[in-house]
Amino acid sequence: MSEKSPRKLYKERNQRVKNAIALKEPDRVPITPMVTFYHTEQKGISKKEAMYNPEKSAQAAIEVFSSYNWDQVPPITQVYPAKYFDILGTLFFKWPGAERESQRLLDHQPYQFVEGEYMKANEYEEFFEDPTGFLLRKILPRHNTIFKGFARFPNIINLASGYGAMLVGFPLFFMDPTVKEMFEKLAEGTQYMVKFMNTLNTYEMEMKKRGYPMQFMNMCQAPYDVVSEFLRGMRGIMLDMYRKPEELKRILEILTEPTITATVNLSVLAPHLKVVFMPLHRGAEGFMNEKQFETFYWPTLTRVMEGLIKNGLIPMPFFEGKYTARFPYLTEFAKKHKGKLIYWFDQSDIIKGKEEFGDYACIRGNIPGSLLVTGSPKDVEKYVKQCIEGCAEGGGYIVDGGISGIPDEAKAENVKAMTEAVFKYGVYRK
Amino acid sequence: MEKFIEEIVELNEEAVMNILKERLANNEDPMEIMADVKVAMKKIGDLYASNVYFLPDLIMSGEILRQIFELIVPKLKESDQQEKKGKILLGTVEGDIHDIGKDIVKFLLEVNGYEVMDLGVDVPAQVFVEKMQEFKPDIVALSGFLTIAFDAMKVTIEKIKEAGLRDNVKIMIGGGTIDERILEYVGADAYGDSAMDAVTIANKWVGAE
Repeated sequence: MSEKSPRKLYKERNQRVKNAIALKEPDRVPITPMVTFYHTEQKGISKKEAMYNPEKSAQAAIEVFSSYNWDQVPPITQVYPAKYFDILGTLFFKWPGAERESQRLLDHQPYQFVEGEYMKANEYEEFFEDPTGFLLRKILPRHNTIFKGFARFPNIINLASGYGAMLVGFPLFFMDPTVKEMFEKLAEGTQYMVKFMNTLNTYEMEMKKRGYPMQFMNMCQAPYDVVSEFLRGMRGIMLDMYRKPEELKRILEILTEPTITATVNLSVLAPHLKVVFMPLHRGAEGFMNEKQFETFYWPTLTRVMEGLIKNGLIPMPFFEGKYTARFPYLTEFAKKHKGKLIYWFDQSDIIKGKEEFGDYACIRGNIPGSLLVTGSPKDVEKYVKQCIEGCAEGGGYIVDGGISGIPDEAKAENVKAMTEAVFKYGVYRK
Repeated sequence: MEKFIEEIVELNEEAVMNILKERLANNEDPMEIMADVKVAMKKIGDLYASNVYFLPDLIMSGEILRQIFELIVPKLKESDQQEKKGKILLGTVEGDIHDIGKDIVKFLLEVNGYEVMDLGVDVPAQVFVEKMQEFKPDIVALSGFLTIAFDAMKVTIEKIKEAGLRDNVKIMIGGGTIDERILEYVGADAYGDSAMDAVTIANKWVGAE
């Protein structure tokens, strides 16, 4: 094993995952854990430091992930660039050490989303009239303070009124001091993001040199979750299902194609990575009934997944929470797209899932976070063994944790036990 | 009034408010209306417990309830306030700012006759201890969604022990990532898998129903 060159290992590991996705039996069940702050926690780096110093996060990732024999390493994109949020004046997150006091958490706290009714119930009509204009003038400034200049962005159609608008009216917008400041900040933020992306790239290149492929970089969300998180808020969208069902369906419809286009466009940044991570939030059991799921959540989500597949990408919905009762829907979709997607589970019954759609979709998951944090290595080994026994047959199974992969607070010995169990029980053939 | 109860249970906002306004215009006893609301809420709770209703239904029923209370409460006399089943101190533990689960639990506990003191989110262990001394709850309910909450719950319960208050209360925990393992890890008395469990567990503890 130690004889193999990193280049050979890299190829082998990638192939192993590819086979699992394509529902062909690889030589061994692949293991591809996802993380948020696990690597920086292991190195004693505070969450604030990790978020403000991407190089440190990348260095920690290189050291920590090189010590495991994983088939693909996680992107470290989940350690969000805090400095960028500061520059933009982001309001939909709170994070450790934020410049703005209202967004600031303590150094050891993970960033957390701020639920809000960013779009009001009575603004649907305004959205429908001009989605782009509404998002630009109303929503962007509510999400990020620097975009308040956009509130006065002129109506492009006014340019049709002639030279006055073209030569004077339009340029006037750019002379406004808040607008000037906005573009300056945006330039500063963009520069920072370029640096951040370079750091991610350096990390990927270094891991490649060591024989480890990357899992994915690209992500997108279900249209329902986009409306819930970035527009109406969870409470708002739930009430809309009763009070404004037609409007809600219409906005979900409008957001579907752009979600596909935006994700396909992003994939150009790392064309060798086909998997698209889709963290699902509000469609889980408990968050709506079956009828609502069927009406509001599933149709546009499946259209997004279909769109990605058509463009050669591999959707990997992460079914956070419980979805066992929704398995018939998952089966129906997988049947139409055999071997072209990954279903990643949190608290669902994956062994039952294997029986229902294991012939059509690759299953990923679901070692519980609570086990990795509080259990013993022996418990972890036992759990991984059970998952492999229940899901590995015929390929189509990848080992990872449940929620967010490996929790930040997971014990190193448990992560080791999880990895070793794959090598002990997951071999199809020598 | 059957129709009124039925419309609340069916979450027909407009019909509920129309009937309510009519009943108030007819000078019906607000206590009688409240009794109907209680029956309806119990039915909604049962539908939730049996997985017919889910989170959106609870939110919608809360919204209807809020509007009913807005019209009725000013008409109630102080003496009309019913006796509470017990006192519950509730909060999301330190480090975690998630409040969706906690708020639902609060809502369900309140409509089921509990007096709830809600400490909000990111509540330090020390604050739980201080508020316990002040509020003297029968039950402490700790909420948390992030894995960071595991240790925060453990620390909170340790602090309660250190303050000599552990034997005075029952402690329940809950949240998206909480399970049997975490119950054992933090040393609470029970954990709930869904928001309704909070009511079931509390009822058992205070000997109600």
